[in-house]
Amino acid sequence: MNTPESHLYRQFKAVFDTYYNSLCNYAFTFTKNAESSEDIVQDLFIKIWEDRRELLMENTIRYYLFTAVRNNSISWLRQEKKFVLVEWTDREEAYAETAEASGSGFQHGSPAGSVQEPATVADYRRLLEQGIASLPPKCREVFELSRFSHMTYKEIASSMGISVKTVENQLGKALRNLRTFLRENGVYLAWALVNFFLYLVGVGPYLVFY
Amino acid sequence: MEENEYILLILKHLNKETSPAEQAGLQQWLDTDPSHQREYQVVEKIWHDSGQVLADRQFDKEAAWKKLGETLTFPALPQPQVPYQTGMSPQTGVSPQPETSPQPGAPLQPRRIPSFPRQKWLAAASILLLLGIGGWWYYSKKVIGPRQVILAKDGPRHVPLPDGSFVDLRKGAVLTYTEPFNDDRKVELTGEAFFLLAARPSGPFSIRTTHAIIEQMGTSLLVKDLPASDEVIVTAGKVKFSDRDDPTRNRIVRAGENLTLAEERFTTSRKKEPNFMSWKTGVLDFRDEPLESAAAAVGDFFELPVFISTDLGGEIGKIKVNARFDHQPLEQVLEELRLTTGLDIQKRKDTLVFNIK
Repeated sequence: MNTPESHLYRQFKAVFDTYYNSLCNYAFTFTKNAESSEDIVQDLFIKIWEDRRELLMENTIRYYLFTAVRNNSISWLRQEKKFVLVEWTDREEAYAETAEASGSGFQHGSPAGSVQEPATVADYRRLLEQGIASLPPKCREVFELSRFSHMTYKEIASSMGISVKTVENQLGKALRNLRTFLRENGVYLAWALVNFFLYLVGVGPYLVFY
Repeated sequence: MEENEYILLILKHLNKETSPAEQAGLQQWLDTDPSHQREYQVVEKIWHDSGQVLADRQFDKEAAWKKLGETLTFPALPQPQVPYQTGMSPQTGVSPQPETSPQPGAPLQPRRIPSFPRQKWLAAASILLLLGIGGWWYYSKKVIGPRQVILAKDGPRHVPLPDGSFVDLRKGAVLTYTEPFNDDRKVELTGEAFFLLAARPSGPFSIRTTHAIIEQMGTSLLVKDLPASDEVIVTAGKVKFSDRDDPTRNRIVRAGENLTLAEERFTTSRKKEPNFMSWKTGVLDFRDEPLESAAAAVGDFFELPVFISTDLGGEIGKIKVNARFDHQPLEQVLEELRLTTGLDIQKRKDTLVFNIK
């Protein structure tokens, strides 16, 4: 049977299978609530099947999904009054970029009372999580949207209402900050690559030493 | 290459955004020094690992799919010929038996069919037939036809509607309506559009946007559906503009008026916005236009954010723009603005920056 309807259904299922988990994880970065994240994503799929089936056949579906989850998560936060939305105005954006160009750096936070000690594998993951959490809010938003959705710079720019250049710069900033954060907390990744291998073959208990 | 520069380049590469020239540049940078390759690996590792760390949480996809199935109606699909099996059971190594499905050859429970007089069959059949005809007649009047979705993907788009109205969609705008259209004349809009509506005494024309419902009473109007607000500019006739969440909150907007709904508040203005249709006409026309609004109009036309340097201070109010542009490219527009205003105007990082010289 190859009616347009069953074709759409198969497409719907495929889109659901591909994106459900990342969309929920992405919603979770806003809501910090697993149940609400699932509700937001499920409602979106219901809406697509009921009203917007034509989207399923478009190659912009990924863009549509992540943009909708972002918007709906922000609405959810507003309803829950957990969050005052700070609009990313053009002015702020231009300031951010001027600041960037003139080299004024971002202050890196280290976990309280951290001592420069070698980090283990578990520490490394935890630190990376902390590093992402301590990125400046808008920088983190761009970075997370990019990591979850794998969208193009242009799609991310359009989804967040910012310029392509800002997307590029914010991603670069995220990477620089993460690297500095890890370094400040005793993770030296150039060595880590070698040591990870040593760890795997059982030579040492530490992922990293210096 | 500076640290910032190569990180941006590596990220572009990882996101498949590099041009052939950038790709060659990256390759050359990698080849010049083994330490560069380690740098590359570090960036790649952070990029890759943070993706994994972020998507760490596992959500129950199967349960969610089941839940969707309870709400939505899916088309009946043919069952696969071979029964679907999940595989070998790990403990026993024996494939699981179907639990309660009846064996193909199993005898059915005998069931007594009650006798039913012939006349009653006929009566029942005629009632069903009448119901069927009634239902068909009712349904044929109410039938909901295909949904039309019109997207202005590459540029402005002129769309005639079945009732004789016209809509001009700005690039990126989406208009949706359901056929048959002429009964209720309802459209949904995201983005910006200009409506020239056919007069139709029979019923209103209504436009739904993200936040508002706009009902016409014979008119032409521009509607801007933005993420945070909705704006309507009426050029002829009058419209009723209601909050979509609470339609009892509404305003009548007349020709020459603008109304904005933002954060649940209506703001009316009679301020003339001579360039609100520039995206359609291709013309920007400034006559003694204050710098700030002229800059905003140019930014809106070329879809670029505008930044006016605070160094301009109180000077802004004094600068007036007098110019007319007809389908001119950005650089020409900026050049003429520089000449007439004496300001330093640059396109920097996709932003139009206005500054003192």
